[in-house]
Amino acid sequence: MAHLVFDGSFEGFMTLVYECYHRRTTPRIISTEAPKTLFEDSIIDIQTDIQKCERVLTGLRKNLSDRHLKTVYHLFLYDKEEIFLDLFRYIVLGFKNVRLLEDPSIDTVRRVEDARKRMFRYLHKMEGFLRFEELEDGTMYAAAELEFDVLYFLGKHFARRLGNEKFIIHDRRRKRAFVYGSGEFQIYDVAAFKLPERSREEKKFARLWRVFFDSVSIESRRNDKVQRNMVPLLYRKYMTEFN
Amino acid sequence: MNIDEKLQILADGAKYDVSCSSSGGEENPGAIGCNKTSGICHSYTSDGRCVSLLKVLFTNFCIYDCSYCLSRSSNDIPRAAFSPRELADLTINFYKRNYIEGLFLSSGIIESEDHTMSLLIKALEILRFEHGFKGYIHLKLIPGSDPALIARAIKLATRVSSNLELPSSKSLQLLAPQKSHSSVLQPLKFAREFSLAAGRKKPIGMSTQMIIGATPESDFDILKTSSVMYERKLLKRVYYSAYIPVNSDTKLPALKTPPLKREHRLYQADWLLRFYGFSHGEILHKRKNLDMEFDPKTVWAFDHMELFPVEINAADREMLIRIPGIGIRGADKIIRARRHRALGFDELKKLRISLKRARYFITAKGRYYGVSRMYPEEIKKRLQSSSKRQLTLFDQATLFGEL
Repeated sequence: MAHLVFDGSFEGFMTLVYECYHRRTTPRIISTEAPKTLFEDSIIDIQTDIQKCERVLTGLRKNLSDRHLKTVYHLFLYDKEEIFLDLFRYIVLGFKNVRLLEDPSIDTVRRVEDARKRMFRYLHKMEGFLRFEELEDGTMYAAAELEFDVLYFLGKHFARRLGNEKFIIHDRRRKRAFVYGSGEFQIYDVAAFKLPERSREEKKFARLWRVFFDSVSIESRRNDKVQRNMVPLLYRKYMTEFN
Repeated sequence: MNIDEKLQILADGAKYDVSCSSSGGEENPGAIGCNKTSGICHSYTSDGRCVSLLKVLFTNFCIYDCSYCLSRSSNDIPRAAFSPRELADLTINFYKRNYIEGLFLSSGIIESEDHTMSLLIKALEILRFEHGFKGYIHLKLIPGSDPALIARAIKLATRVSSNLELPSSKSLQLLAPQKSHSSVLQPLKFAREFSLAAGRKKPIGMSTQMIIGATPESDFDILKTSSVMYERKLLKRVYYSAYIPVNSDTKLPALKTPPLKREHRLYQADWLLRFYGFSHGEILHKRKNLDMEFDPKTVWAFDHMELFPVEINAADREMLIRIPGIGIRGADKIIRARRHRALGFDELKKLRISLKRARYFITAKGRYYGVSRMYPEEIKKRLQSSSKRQLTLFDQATLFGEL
């Protein structure tokens, strides 16, 4: 049992899987930063290696079905340390016998499926709750602090519906931005960002939206608790109607 | 009148229409806009209802005088009307900012049915043809308008509806003398015909709404009306709207609070009709109205104790979904999991099957964990004591979400 440290990249994680098989070791903890205290039993620092990563991926493609393979890719975007160990065990189970990945009474399988669901449920919520503002040059700009690393999925979703627009989705938590224009997109790291002026009409439509939002509520059915359950305060920071 | 005031008046006039679903559209991107089959909720108002569409009246001018309606001609209220272009621009600008999935357009009758319908069509044409908008549009058809206009409208809309308003023709006669069930169903029948004739595989999606509690119909009458619509495949969905007094009229009951609980029970029963294979006669046999204390599936189970307990490892899907507390998703989870091993209570808990109600109606690997003697009275007592703590949560359950 060891504490494994890798660089946080997908390739790094695949290298980690390779090393565990190679060294016949089972991780006890997987993290992206070395522990500060020195009481740890043994710490293995994984050096990301594209060839080792490829070996594991080839194996996964051979053994797992498309759906399970996607689960592995997607779960990596869960982007929280607590999932790494389960993801590792999930891969091990898959190598052992792919049928095991269909059995929800295995804890690892269930936790992985739950995490995947949680992530996509979050994505679905954000597809509704993200708010764009129009900038001077007509670009639509949305800010968010994404809980999971779903920027790519979110960007793709809006590329389908705002195909003729230019837009930016800015994940302020990870300091990255999905930038779309004329049929193409790019994901950039954003170190510092000065937001340009809003367009002349922006204020008017934000105001009209609030007018609408306030007038469709039925006072005799008032129920703040349900509202809070459906749109937790956490989400409201960037939502026009709550600001 | 400025656009702020207009929007305020015309949103206010449309808000009692409970339908706000944006699901079921084809995912086909255009210059702007693309549906999402699952539908998307963009916000929730302070009454806890989902906001998915820009739901407005085109105008609240109306030549009709229906007792239950805020826009009735005899009401002295501020009146407004959009222009087709104004409304189209508002929709596009809201859509671009991701406030909404699309438009839900309804209207009072201004001048005549045909004139109104033409204005609505004009707004939709600007959206579809000038802006290339491919997002969701729900259009309320105007009963009594020319079939040729309805044929044009269904080419533009994603879904259309026409409200039955009240559960029986008799009530409608009393409260809305200018309408009848056959007149409000007529546009839906046209819409189905036209969309099938236009080569669609399935008719355009259609829904309706009934106001609950303004008139004396029983839940049995209401569910029967709904099931006839479902059986004839005329409608995808019926919405139930707890009656909220907006006018004082001697023909209408004076209610202090809208019958929200009853509305909730009706939705539960409606779900049983559409997804759980129940008939309205099964849901309400021997009774005229739904039980307020227990949900309709639990009540049905109490009446059929001879079928319970059900062995979770052996029952087919049809029976699994009839177990109180187990839904479609729960049943499917059980079916998937039991392929690998027989399920005991611990496994069910791990699968996060809610056992609060189900435990009294199932066995797992032959073992029963409910009450010592399986009598409905005994189970009721247990359920009552466990639901007391949760009553507030239960009361506010709403089913306006997407499905």
